[in-house]
Amino acid sequence: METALFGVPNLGIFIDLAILIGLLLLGVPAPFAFMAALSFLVYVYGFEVTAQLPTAFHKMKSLTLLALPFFIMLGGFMTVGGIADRLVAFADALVGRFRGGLGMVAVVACAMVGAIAGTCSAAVAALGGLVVPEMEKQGYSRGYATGLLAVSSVLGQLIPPSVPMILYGFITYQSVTACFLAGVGPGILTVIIYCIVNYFMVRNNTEIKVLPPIGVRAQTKQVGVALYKGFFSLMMPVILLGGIYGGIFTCTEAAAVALVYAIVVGLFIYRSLKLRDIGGIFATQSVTTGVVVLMVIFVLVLSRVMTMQNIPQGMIAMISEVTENYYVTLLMVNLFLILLGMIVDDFTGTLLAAPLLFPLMTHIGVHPIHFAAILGTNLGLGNVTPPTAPILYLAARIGNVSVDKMIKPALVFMVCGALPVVLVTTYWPDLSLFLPRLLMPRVMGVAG
Amino acid sequence: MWYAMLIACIPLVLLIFSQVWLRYVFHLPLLWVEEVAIVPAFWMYMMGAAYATFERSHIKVDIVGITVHSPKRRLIIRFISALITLGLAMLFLQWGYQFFVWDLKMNPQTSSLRFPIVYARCSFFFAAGILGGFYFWIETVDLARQLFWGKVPLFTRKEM
Repeated sequence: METALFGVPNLGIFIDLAILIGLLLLGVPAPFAFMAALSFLVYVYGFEVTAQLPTAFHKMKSLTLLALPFFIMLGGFMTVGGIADRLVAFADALVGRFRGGLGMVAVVACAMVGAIAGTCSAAVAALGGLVVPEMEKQGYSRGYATGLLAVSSVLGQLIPPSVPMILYGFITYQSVTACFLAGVGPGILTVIIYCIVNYFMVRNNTEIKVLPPIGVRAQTKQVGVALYKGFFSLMMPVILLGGIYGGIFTCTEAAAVALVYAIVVGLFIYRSLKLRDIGGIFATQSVTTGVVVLMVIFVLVLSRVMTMQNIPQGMIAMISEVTENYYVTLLMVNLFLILLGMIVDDFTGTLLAAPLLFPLMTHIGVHPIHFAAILGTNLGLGNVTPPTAPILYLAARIGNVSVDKMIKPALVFMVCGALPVVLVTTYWPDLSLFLPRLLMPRVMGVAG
Repeated sequence: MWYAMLIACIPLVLLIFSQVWLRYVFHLPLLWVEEVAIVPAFWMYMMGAAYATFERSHIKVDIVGITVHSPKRRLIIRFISALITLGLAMLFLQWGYQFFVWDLKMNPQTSSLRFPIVYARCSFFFAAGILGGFYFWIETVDLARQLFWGKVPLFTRKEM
C-alpha cells in the first residue's frame, strides 16, 4: 500500500498521467492510451491484469451501461428520421420572430435535441445541416451561425438524458437519474444566457432580416400548427423523461423504448427513414459505443488499481498541503477540467476525470451529484476552446466553414456565456442540486 | 463484421423493449433478460471496437493534424503513434488470451440461468483482440509503406 515510487510520493500517478496525456497528444487512440497508463501502473506495482479484468467485466454486465449504445443510436436516428427537423420548426414558431430569433432557435433546438440524444456531437450533427443554412439565408454570417451552434452543443450533455452523465454515474456508483437532473439547472441557465448574448450580438446588425411581428392570435396559431406537425417528435422527450422520472421504466428501458419509437415514427409516420438506413445507423453507432466501452473497461481496472494503491488519498494529501480552502481547490479543479476538455472529447474527459477527482471532491465536501454538473459544464467549455476543441472542429466540418471564421463569435459566447455558467455551477451547488433534491429526495439523502 | 454488429444490435433492442412490454402488458417480469442480453451486448461492444480500428475512427486527439503542417512530419508522427498502438494492441491480445484461458478454466456462470459467461466474455479476445489487432497491423504496414516507399494510402478515410 505505498504510493511513493523511488522514494518520491505520488510520482507514480504523475508519470501515469504524463503517459496518458502524452500518448493522447501523439495521436494514439484514446482506449489504448488508457491501456498504456494501466499497464504502467500494473507493472510498476506488480499487479496481475487477469485477476483485475474479471471485476471490470462483472461491472460491465450491468444493464445501466446498455443505455449508452441506445442513446448514441438514438442520436443517429434523430438526424436521419426527420425528428430533428420538426423540433427546429417548433422552436422557430416559438421564438423565431424576435430580433436575432433564429439564433435563439439554434440554442433552443440544441436544448431539445439534447433532451433526446445526449451527446454534444449528436446535437451538432443533427442540427448543423438544418440550422446553419437557414440562418445564413436570413443574413447571419456562416461563421457566426456555426460558432453559435458549436457553443450551444454543450446543452446536448447538460439536458438529460446525457451520455457523459451515464458514464459518470456508472464509474462513480451514483444514481444516473440523479446525475441527469443535475445538468438541468446549468442547462437552462445556459439557454437563457446564450439567448441574451445572441440578442446583444445581432442587435445592431442590419443585414439580418426579421420577419414582421404578427398578432398574438396568429402567433398562437402558428405555434399550434408547429406543435401539431411536430407532435411525434415532441413526444420523444416526454416519453423518455416522463418514463424515467415517473418511475415507469429504467434509464436503459426508456432508451430502448425511445429507440423503437424513433424507428416506428421515422419509418411509418414521417417516412424519411428507409428500411435499409436502419442497419447503417445501428452499425455506425455501435462502432462509437465499442470504442467508448473499451475505454470504460480500462478505466474501471485503472481506477481499481489506483484505489488499491491509495493513490487518491495521496493526491488529497498533496492538495491539502497546497491549500485547505474549498474555493481555491474548486478553482484548481475548474482549471484542470477546462484544460482537459481542451485536449480530449467529452467521453474521454469524463472517464479520465471522474475516477481521478471524485475522491478529492467528496473529501472537500462537494456533493457527488453536484460534481456531475461541474464536470459537464467545465468539460463542455473546454471542448469548444481552442487549440484542440473537438466540438468546434466537428461543427466547422459540418457547417462547412473554416475555424478562423467562427472563432470570434464563438469566443464571445464562451467568455460571456459559457464561462459564467461554469463558475455559477461550480460555486452555487443549489443550481444543480435543487431538482435532484426535489424529485428524488430519497436518493439525495434528504428527508422527503 | 458489419452484419455481425447488426445481428447483435437488433435482438438487444428487442430484448430490452420486450422486457418493458411484457412487464406492463402481460404483467410478466422477465428476470433472465439481463443475463441473456450480455452476450449480444458484449459482442456488439467488441465488434464495434474492432470495426473502429478497421475504419480508423477510434477516438483520437488530432492535435498533430492541426499544429504540424509538413505532410512528411505528420506521417512520421502518425507512424510512431501507430507503432506504439500496435505494441499495445499486442499486449491487449496477450491479456485477452490469458483472460479467455482463465474463463475456460473457471467457467463462471450467471446466477439464475447457470449460463456460462464465457460466451459473452470471449468476445474480448476474439473480436477486439484478434480482429482489432489485425487491423492495427494493416494500419501500421500501410503507414510504413507511405513513409519509406512513398506509396499511396491503401485506404482513405471517409469524411463525415
